[in-house]
Amino acid sequence: MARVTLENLAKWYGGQNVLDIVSIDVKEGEFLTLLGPSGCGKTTTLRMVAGFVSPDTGRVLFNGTDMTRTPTQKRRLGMVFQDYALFPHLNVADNVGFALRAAGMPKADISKRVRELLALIRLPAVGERFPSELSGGQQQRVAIARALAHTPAVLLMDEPLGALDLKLREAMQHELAVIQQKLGITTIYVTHDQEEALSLSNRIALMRRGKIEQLGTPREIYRNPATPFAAFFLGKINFVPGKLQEKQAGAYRISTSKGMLLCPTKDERKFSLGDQVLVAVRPEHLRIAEVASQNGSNVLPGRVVRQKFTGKVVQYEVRVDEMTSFIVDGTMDRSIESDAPVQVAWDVSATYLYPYEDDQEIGVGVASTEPQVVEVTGKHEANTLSESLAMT
Amino acid sequence: MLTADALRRRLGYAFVLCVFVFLVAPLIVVSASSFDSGAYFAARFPPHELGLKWYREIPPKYWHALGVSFTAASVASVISAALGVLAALGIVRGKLPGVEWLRSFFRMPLQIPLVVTGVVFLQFYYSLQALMGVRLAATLPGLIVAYVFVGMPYVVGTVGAMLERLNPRLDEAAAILGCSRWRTFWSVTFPIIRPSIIAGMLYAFVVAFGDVPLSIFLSSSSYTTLPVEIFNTLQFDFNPSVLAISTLIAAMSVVSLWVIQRLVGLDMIPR
Repeated sequence: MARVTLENLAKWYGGQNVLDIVSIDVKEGEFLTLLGPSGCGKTTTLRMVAGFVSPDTGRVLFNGTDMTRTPTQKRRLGMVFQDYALFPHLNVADNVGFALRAAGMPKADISKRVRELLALIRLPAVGERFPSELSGGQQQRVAIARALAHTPAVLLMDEPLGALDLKLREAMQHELAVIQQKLGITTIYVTHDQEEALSLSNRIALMRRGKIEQLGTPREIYRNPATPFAAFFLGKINFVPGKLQEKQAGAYRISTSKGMLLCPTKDERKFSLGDQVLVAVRPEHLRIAEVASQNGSNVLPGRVVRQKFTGKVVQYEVRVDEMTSFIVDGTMDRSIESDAPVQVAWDVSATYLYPYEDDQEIGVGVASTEPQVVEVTGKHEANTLSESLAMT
Repeated sequence: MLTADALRRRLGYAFVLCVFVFLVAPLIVVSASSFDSGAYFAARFPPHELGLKWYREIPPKYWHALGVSFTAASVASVISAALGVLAALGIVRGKLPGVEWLRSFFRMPLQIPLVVTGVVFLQFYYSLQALMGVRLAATLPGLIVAYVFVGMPYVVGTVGAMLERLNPRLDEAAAILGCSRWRTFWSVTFPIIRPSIIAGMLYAFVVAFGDVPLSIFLSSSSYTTLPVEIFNTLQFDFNPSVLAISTLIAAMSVVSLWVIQRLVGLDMIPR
């Protein structure tokens, strides 16, 4: 087991800053996920820990020892690759025992250890088979066994479930969590799948454009996203641009195109009067109400333009103005006609406030003609998300 | 009445049959003739009476030439394999500037007519002898160097093609599991590319073993390779023993291909 410290890592490729001062302290036995859209630098960071990429600045430390210049083979790592990278010329037993053979372990001990590992991944009978004769899920498990054989200090996983279909991915997520907990091995996991990150990790480092956007437990990030992007990438979020009008006791008053909104003041960020701001609220905190105004609530008038039945919830798309639509999680109990005028209401305490910044990637900005909820690859429905959050 | 489909299929069979006939017929004629009893000093097909006379009368110079050819081609194919693997690794894996240039450089020997290569090597060997006193013309080392020159591109080609398809993650996986680069090569890369090395060696061997235009410049009347000897025989003084030695070589080729097929499996060889 080891503690992994990433200190001010940076990397340029051809004049482009792919990693811009990344520092993370991964505790012993922790499951840390590097989460972000493609090109955010998560894989580069992982490859620096592995020693495949050397940082232009900064250091990688294991238990306080500088490993930045240590070659990969001396770092005592285990790694699971997205395409598994099983050795095609070796059978499963030889694949799993590869590291042990490289370390010069006696043959009898190797076969004993290999048997243990195949039992751990619940594939005791495939030792003689070749990787090409196994299914994707089986190959995945063999890759995990191979990565664990030499009891590495740190386990690295690069989108290990990316190539599996949904059902198998869910099963493997569970299995990974069980194995990781059983062995208590420090794990750094790379994924672009928010659901996977939420359900597996002790902590998530959400990355974007080579920087860490937010570092925290899944709950912290989901409940208290530090930036609009964090709110957008983990879960679903609705944005409304506005202007800070007034500071009251414990709340800001913000004017939007359709009325005043209240937002609780939080100490970490200071806004001043007249600032352009972005109000954000999650679909599951919204209600569709008939009453015009309620105490302690924010209310915006709108019109239901679309509804989508997803099983557990009905997602209403409520058009507030030409630029802004809200996604509201509703229940099936009540039927609301399309095009009906409604009020969207939510508790003031569930409101997030950010400084306004054009950001078309998350659907905020002048050029966005589409409603402001934009889906990106790797994002899943809000309901499955809250479910996985509830499980952790 | 034949349907159009059946007609097309029959025409297809006929075409395949023609190809086989034209490829195999010369071999059949030569090998059958070689078993003629030898009443006439000529090639007779079909043989009138069977006998092994021409086999018994294979002149010693053929055996000597066969030895030269076999040694030169084998040594050259081994050297081609060693150098070709290194070159392919450098071209595919190395981050070298001008890799495209290197690629065409290693393909070049295939694009030069062998006769030209032969003349160039002869000139080169003469100059070498004049300048440094090293004699390579009409010697075994001289032949080997020339054969490596024409044989290595095949190894670079087959091994390079295999390396291109090889998942680079395998090397990374081996490094993670504690292998140095040297050990990674021997325990991962080499076993995987081995069939392509053998295929390349086979090509290099066959090209060297069957070569006339290049070898004819690099041999002398006292020191020569089998194809050159056969060529001379056909050109200047025909002797039916040449049929016998040719048949023997054809048989050897078939047997060695079969052995290689059993040992490594030619199916695995990239084409």
